[in-house]
Amino acid sequence: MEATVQDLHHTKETAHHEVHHELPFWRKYIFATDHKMIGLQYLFTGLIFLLFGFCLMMLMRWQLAYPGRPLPVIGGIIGDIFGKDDMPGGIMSSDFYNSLGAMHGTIMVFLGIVPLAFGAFGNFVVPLQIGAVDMAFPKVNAASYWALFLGGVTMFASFFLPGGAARAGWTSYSPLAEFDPTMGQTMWLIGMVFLITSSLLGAVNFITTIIQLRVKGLTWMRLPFFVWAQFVTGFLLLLAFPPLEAAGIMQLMDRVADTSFFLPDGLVVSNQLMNTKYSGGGSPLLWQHLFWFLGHPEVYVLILPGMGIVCEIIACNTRKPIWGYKPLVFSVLSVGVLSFVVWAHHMYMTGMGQKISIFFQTTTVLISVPSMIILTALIISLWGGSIRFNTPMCFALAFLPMFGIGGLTGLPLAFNAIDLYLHDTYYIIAHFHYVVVQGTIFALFAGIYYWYPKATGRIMNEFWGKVHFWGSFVCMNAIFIPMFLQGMSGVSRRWWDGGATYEFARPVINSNIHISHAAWALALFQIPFIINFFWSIRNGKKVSDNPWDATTLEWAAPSPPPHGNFTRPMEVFRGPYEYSVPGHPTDFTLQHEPDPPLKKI
Amino acid sequence: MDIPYTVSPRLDTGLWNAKLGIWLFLASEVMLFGALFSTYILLRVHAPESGVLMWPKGSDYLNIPIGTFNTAVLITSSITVILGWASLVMKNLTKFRWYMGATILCGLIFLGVKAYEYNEKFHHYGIFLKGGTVVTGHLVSEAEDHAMLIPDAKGDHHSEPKRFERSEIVRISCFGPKYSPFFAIYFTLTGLHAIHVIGGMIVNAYLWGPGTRMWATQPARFTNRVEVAGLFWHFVDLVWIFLFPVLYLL
Amino acid sequence: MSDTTDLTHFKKHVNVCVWIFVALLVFTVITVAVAQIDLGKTRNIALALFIATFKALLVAAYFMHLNAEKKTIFMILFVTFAFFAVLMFLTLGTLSDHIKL
Repeated sequence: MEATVQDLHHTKETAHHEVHHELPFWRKYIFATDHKMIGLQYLFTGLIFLLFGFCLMMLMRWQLAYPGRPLPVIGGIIGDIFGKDDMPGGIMSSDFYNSLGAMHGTIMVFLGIVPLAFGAFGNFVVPLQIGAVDMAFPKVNAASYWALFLGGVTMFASFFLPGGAARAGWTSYSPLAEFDPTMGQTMWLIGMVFLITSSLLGAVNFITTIIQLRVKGLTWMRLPFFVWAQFVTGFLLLLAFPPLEAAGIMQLMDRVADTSFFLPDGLVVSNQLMNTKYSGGGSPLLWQHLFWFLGHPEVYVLILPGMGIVCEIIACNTRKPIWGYKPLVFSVLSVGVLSFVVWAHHMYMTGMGQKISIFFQTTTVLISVPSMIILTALIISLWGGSIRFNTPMCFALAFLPMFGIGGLTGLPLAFNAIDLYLHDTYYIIAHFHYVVVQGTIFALFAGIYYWYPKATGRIMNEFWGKVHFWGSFVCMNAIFIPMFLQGMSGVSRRWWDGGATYEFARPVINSNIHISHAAWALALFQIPFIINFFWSIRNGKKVSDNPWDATTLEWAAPSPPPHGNFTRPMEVFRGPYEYSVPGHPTDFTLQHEPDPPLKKI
Repeated sequence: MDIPYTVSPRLDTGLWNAKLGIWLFLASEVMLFGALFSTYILLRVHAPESGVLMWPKGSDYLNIPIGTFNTAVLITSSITVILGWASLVMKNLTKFRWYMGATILCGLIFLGVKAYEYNEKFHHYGIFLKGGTVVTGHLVSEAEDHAMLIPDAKGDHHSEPKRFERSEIVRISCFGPKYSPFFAIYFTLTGLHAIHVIGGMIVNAYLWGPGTRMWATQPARFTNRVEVAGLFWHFVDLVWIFLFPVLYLL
Repeated sequence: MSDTTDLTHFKKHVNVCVWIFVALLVFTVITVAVAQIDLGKTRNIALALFIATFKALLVAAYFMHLNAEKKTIFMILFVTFAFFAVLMFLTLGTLSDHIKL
């Protein structure tokens, strides 16, 4: 009884607090605790880093297309900004190329996609879709964003340190990562600690919010699939990141305290035996295991929110319920669980024995099943639908075959025997870029166009949206299809000259030029998107709270939603995709609306 | 509108938000320390059966009575934090402060002992010789052409300083992380654990001190905060319950 | 949740915790004592870990109140320990089962 009285007192006190307190600028916009503001902070930070990572890649593409040629105009400037040795005379040095490669991967994955897919979309949409007023832990939410920010600053700053940024790949394998003399490699490890902390805090928040703050009537099987996807993503981040954090600490110790966690005895570096400094006795394989234990669930972190976004948009723009909701839920849970037991398929070439190799090959093939079930359910959902081809739907539709290609090209790699030939080639690069670029990034674009009206009350321009879509679609395929062929011809990853010195690469070497041109064209097609995005904030067509006539709870809130999200406590009466229900007066019913009277026949 | 279930539990889960949150965080910590324990096992299994890289018995380098004492200190701090929380449930703030104070004191003792252990290690050296052996003891001096060491001796009698020429030395190292994989994982595991002890102590100190302001206006919420901090503290104790036998006794 | 509604039940729980504390100290002494006896490396390791696990379960069940919680936390912990086991044993597996050069 005591506790209840205290609760009431607490509630009254805080409610009073809520209504009358207008936050100062720095608490509303900078150290924001409102999930929508934090979601936008993640969005802008993520998009800026996505662009920066893209620029790094565009620099690399010059070197790959025209190895050894000075980069006109910008070449000298880059040398001035980053360091004289990086681009002497405008020609890219191999060390700088390696830095660009390592940081492109790191930034795109940890500072681009994860903050966007999980941080931005998750934060903005999940509380709204479950009818909550905010995340369970608003201050922890803010802390998670600022940890990301610090990690981003650290990674960015590493370019300007003596020696430049990390250059041992985004995978930072030992022993190379230990012996790279640049401060950048150490900063990479420190940056990773911040980024991992950010994700862990975010994961705790998301999981607690989804379990605890679903409104009345919103049972697990009435949740929008987007929320399920974010829920599983939260668990992947929560349980898979800490081993990498441990590994990062150990690699940091190897670099700074001269330990030998990952350094074997008898190691010779640059013709020098290392036993005068290091004890030896460690294992480079240990790093790989700990890295990929995260690395594999990480790729599902990259794709699952995207699948969630696409599902929402397909349901809304086909005007019918998603086919196979239960299989979708069980599949996303299975993918989550299985993703923890496949990691060594990134390590087939490390000499593991037959029994363990068979185990990982089997689990890897198995995990393709739930992934295919998800894709199939989404495709079948189109059948008999009344499809509206607006911009978000274009991106969502394109996601389906693109993810299909990405996933199917991954399947051969599950087999040790095939991986023997394709490991570390451009085939791998093409495979994972298909899934993340034409897959996830398309889903993210779809989500931006789709939820923009909720965040701003206005809609983005449809014409320029389609220009953005078609340009991106054509260019992305032009970039990555030739890469499959290059990989199958034997062109390896991380070659500074793209294979120019190898005879066997001769038939596919010219693709480098076409791919680079397509990459630069892709950049041009992002310009209408950027302009559209900012222009529409003030000048876009004003729309109602539910311009897409969608059914999920976020569309019941005002656009943009105020602090507290909903004008009254919500209650849910039905599933998330009640479109075109026979007998209903409209072709959609929001989840919180009580049953309408049936049409008299 | 307020965020629900900050103090009273949601009926179907039986949990209030922060309790679920802390358990999720602890799950991630299980994976963090789990990865380090896996590393320990891997490094140990990987180690040769003889030679300088042979995996030592914990008692070869670590002091068991001191480790046992520290284990008892942490276990004690766990019961005091429970008694502190229980005092709050029974509405006795003064008793809570006594017990939480005792918890913080135990934490300080634990860290003090660890600092003593670490310091002792940093002052003990080993000279690795070209023959594949190592001589351990107290380093007297190190110069460009030689090094002088008082070797460890059994019993009370003092050994004479011994001179080693650079030509016979492979490397010299104190018993720090770089001495051997055993020490690397010892310092990493206990160091990370100590950082968690410090973190827990900062939270406990806040709750003992300025945090008690909340007791006047929202006692149930404050009690829950103490419970959450207690759960973290128990986890820190739990990790040590495994660390102690693994590192010191095996 | 705070058992403020049933103080006698709560006081009993606290009493139990004090006895668990005593048990933990006793088991600590036992662990140290047993480690002095040489039963063979594997047996020593297994025994030390067994006692440590038992102590840990006592802390988790009583100090951390786990045996009073509903299934949510159990499911989270079960999944966590499953993946921890995966990390440890599969990694060891790749090292012990490797191609002979």
